[in-house]
Formats: sequence, structure tokens, C-alpha cells
Amino acid sequence: MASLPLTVYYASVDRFFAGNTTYAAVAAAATANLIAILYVVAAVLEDRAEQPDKQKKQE
Amino acid sequence: MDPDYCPAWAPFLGFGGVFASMALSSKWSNGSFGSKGQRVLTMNMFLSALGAAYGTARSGIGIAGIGAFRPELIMKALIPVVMSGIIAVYGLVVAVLIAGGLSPDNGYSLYTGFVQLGSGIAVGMGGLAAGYAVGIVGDYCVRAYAQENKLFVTMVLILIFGEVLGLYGLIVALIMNTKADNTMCS
Repeated sequence: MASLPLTVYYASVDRFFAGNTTYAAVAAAATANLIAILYVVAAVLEDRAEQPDKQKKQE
Repeated sequence: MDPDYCPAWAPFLGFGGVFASMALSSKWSNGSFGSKGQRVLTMNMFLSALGAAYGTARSGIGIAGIGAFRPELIMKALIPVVMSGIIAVYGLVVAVLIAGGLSPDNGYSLYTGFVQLGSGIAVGMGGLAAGYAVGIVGDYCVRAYAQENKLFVTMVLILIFGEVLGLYGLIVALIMNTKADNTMCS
């Protein structure tokens, strides 16, 4: 959560963006948002996986 | 008398920006806030976040409320907490950005000090606003989601709109930080 955006920032500031810190900060913020989106997707998928089990149990 | 555009105390303002970005978008957890004058870089490690903690705490109240009788909803109900974490990450990113520009060897102009203080305050206040919105929305929406399943999409939409307030603060902070200029001091 906190380590991945920081890692992305430090890894990308010299390798991908040639020292331009703004783009590296944007990449770090994008990875933080990506983690949140992945969490939402995982929560929804887990919920869908439970529903067929519940319907089977009720039958 | 010529004004000094590169005083020795100018980095203090940069430190203030780092403090503001981290302390305002985050919140203290142990209650010992200290005085605002102590804007040194090391304070970031001891201060936990203001807006993000309000968001986490407030939505945590709701999650604890529904978790007792609808435990299967807990994973989806944790989304406001994740959003609050992102708000703190915005403050962290700006703090790292500003701290990367501070150095005792190169000259540091008063202009850069004020620009970086402003960018820290921008992301901090944006994070405070976003955390406050995410907290209140998270609390009430999670409680309503326990009673009506269709509210999930609504909750996520409102949380996203609250989250972008912190994102706008981050964008403004980044734009301001690109204007930092020390050339007149070296």
C-alpha cells in the first residue's frame, strides 16, 4: 500500500523519466490508485464467488 | 539594502511543506501533536495522518457496526478504508518529492521555499477534505449497504468523487513543485 508507490517512484525517476520527478510522482499516484481498483475488483469477485455457494446451500 | 533572495533559513519553508503535506493529509495517532513550529523533516515519521485517519476511523465505525451481523459484507465494506490509505499516499508522495529537492550543498532560494510550502499545504488540505468526505460517506453508506445491497455501486461512486478532491490537491502540488527554481542562488 505504501511501499509499492514509493518503490515505483524511486525506480522510475531515474530509469524511465530521466530525473523528471513530476512524472515519477504521477506514476506513484497511479500505482496507489491501481491498488485500490484491484481491491475493489477482488472484493466484488469474492462476493460473486460466494453467491453460487449460497444458492447451492439453500437448495 | 538589497533583499536576500537566498537566505539560509529558506529550506525551513521546504520542510514546512513536507510537514504540511504529511501532517495535514494524515493524522496524529498518539495524541501528542507538538507545536506547529517544529516543522522538521523527522516529524513525518512520528505523525500519522489527519484526513486519512479521520476517513479510516469514521468508516471503521460503520464497518464495525455492520460486521457484527453481516460479516459477509466486510470485504466490500473495507473500500473506504483503502481510499483513505490512498489519500495518505498522496501526501507521502509529495513529501518525498519535496524532500528530494532539499540539499545543504546547492543554493535554495526563498522562492523555492514558498513554492514547496504551498505545494505541501495544497496536497495536505486537499487530503484533509478528501479524508473527511470519505469518512462520513464511508460510515453512512456502509451502514445503508448492510440493509440494501444495491447501494454498493452508489457508495463506490461517491467515494471516488470524494477521492478526487485529494487527487486535485496532488495535481496542484505537482504543478507547483515543477516551478521550483534555485538557479538564482548558485
